[in-house]
Amino acid sequence: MKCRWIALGLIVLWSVGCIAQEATRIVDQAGYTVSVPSTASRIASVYGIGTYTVYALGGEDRLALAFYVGVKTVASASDVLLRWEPRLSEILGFGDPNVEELVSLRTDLVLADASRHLDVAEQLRDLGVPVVLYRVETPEALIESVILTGQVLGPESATLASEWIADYDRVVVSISEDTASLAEAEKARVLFLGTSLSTVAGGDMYQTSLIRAAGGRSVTAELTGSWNEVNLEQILRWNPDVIVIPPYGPVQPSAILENADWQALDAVKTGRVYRMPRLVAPMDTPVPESLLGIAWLASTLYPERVRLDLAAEVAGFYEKYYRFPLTQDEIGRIAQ
Amino acid sequence: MIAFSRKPPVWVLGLIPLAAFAIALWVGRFGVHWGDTFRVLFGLEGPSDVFRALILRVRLPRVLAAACVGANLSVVGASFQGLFRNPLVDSRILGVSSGAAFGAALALSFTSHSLWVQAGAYTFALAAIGLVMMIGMRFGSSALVLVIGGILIGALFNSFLGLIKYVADPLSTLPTITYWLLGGLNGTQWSDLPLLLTVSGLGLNFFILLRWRLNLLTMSDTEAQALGVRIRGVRNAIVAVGTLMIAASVALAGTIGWVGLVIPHVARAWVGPDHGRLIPVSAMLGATTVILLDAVARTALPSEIPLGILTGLLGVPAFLVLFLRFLRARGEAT
Amino acid sequence: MRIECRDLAYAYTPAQEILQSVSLTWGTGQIVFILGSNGSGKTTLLECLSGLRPPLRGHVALDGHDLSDLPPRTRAQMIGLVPQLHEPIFEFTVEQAVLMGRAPHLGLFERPGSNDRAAVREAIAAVGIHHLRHRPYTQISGGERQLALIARGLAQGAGCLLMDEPVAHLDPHHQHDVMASVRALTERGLSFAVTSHLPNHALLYADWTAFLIEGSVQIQGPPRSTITEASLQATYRMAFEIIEGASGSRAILPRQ
Repeated sequence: MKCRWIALGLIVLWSVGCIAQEATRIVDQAGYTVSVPSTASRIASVYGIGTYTVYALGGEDRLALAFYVGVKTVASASDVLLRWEPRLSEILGFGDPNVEELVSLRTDLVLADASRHLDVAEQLRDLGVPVVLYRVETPEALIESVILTGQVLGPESATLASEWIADYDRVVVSISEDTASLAEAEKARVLFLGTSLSTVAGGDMYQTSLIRAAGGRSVTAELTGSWNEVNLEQILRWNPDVIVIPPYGPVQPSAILENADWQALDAVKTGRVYRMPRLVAPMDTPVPESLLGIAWLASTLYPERVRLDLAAEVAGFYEKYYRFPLTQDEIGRIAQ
Repeated sequence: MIAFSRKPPVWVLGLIPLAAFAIALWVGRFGVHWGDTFRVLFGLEGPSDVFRALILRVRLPRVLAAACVGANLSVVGASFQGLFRNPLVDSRILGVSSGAAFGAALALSFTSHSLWVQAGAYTFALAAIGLVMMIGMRFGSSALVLVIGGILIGALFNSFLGLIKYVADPLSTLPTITYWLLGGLNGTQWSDLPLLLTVSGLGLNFFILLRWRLNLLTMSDTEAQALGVRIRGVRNAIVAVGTLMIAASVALAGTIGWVGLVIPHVARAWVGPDHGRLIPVSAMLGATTVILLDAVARTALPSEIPLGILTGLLGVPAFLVLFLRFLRARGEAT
Repeated sequence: MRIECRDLAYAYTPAQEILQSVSLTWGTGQIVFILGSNGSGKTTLLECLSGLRPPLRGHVALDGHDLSDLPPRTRAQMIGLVPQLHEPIFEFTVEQAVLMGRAPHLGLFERPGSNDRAAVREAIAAVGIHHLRHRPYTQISGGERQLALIARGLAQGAGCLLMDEPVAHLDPHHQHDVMASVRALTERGLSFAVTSHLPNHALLYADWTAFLIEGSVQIQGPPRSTITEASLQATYRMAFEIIEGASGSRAILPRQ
């Protein structure tokens, strides 16, 4: 009799264990097969760009630790960011991920960057913590990463992921229709600067795809790799129509417009030097919010051609994906 | 005739950097327009305003800076090799470059304004040499004590530099610091030049005037003193002036390796160890080398090639060739 | 030149005086040999005599001028030091190396002129190495390098040269060449102080011999009267015998 009870108890325990350990098997962007527990409730995102996808797909409450692009301390966070994530001081991380800290936080899933975190991922796997690695530098990889994150976070997030893909397509198709009549030579020639006057985005970066999607031509498309250091002579030789400064770093348009050495450039003569606005995520990086970056750049390059209502796109995106209503003033920071 | 070919008059050597200077003004990413460059330089009508501004405001200050940096590194390298009686020494031996690099990186983590970066480099170059001198005074100021002090202080500032890089923002300041440390003259402006030209001019003059006396310092301290040289005073003066010249170079161009080591050896192989000829020839060869390498750095590819990478690519094989020559002369290699 | 050294004392560390009381005098055209065991302070004594090390006590006078009152350049015009041979690092030519002897006659930023070059030519000729003047100083023999250093002392214009073991590492032929040059230069009125581990050389070349024992000159005088079996025993702590040849020449041998 006693033996039977024990056997039954074991069967019950086994089935409970099975339910608790029910997991989704996915293949991440580094090619690893990862068993992701569907109940993961303490997620650490040590990949700043990936963090914003978790928010866009409604997984923010499950974050136990998160890195954000260019946000080192709570003090350096913008007012919008603080309102957008009230738990920022609790979950903000920065720098190189520390394995011991990740384990001591009892994280049950880590989202990391395939180009920087392979070693950390290896150690975490050894300790039994599943790791999903991202490698995002093209629009295709961005879409893949959004689908992947949807799978990781669960069915509701997966639905949001497909809706986002549809939105992304809608924006890109709309802009390409508006700019279809432009011959290649008529397209605006855009220089995407980095965090100094001599740093420019290389051709392999997401920024180059972003310019193309917005109907422009990147003058630095021929450069390989990530950020490139160039000299003023080369910039004069490119002579861009428009200069875009990223939404991070110290460079402001005035530094270019008031610089005597830059006056010969067409972009400076026509005053077309812009710093990309930022509310939450930097819209030039491969984040879901970059669809607003495309829309902003297209509206900036071709205000008379592009039919998209930028203000409505911004408000709609924040409402739908971040469940965060923006004030008119905040919308105006992107859609002027 | 043989004596002439081995020892050409110094004014003939002066033509080499002048030629390099002209070539460097003519080439660039914007294009090579021989006639236009000539017209701009002699104030003639013709070239567009853009080209005029490019030559006068972008290329000219950069080529001048390259000349100063090359001459400074080479002359200080040659003098320090003699002073420390060690042909493997260069201007980095006393930890000055490390101090200057730390100061510049510290400034870069707060601002990208070049005057602050220069101020940081000078301040910490002087701090580094001050610490080395303090160690020297405590332990007798011999060449050996100074070298050991320099290695220690250099290592200390390298650690501080690592700390700065560790806490720097990986998106904005870290790439700037990293690129800056690779060495280069991109973005040199006229406003950077008064300080560099003053320090280089005074420093080079000091070494040119002192050049014969440097020979005495290559002897042992005892011999130099027996010949009436006030060794400590002269050595401290050389170290102080050399430090300022290195700080001026590092502040603008970052830490550029190999020039200060290899150029003095090339010069020595050419005109012999007499500093009377070695110092001016080092200055000229150093200026020429950095002018030409910088022209490659800014012209070869659409993106800038860090100057420190080019000096290494040229310096290492050059050093190997010289070393092989040296071994052959001693019958230790064939 | 007349060199007078009275009650000279020197210490590297306060606890130990390496020179306690050295008194030694020699005059124009004279060669004094300083003999002493290893570590007896011979090199230190030369450095004190050349003015590089200020004495703890006592005085050194050059032709009546107190050495410590002389500025370094004036001092270097009067007295020269020829250190022990070492391998030079840079390949200066013999001429360039000898030219360095002109330093005390030149200001800080001054370069040698034609009269300096004339002095160098004359000094090189005086020690008979004219044929070597363009050779790298690193590529000549030890004896030749020693002669070049003597030429440097001549170019310096010093009235007295202090030589630290000038014939160490040289073969007998070169030993003789160097010492013969020294002897010949006394004809021009130069004085020499020579440290040596070869008492036989003192018998051959010295005008005056000083035995440095335990920090002071305990025995000094003309070589023939001071180099005795007793003084050698006191200096080196071993037994010697002095043998005399038919012509009156003497030689010192260790006693078996």
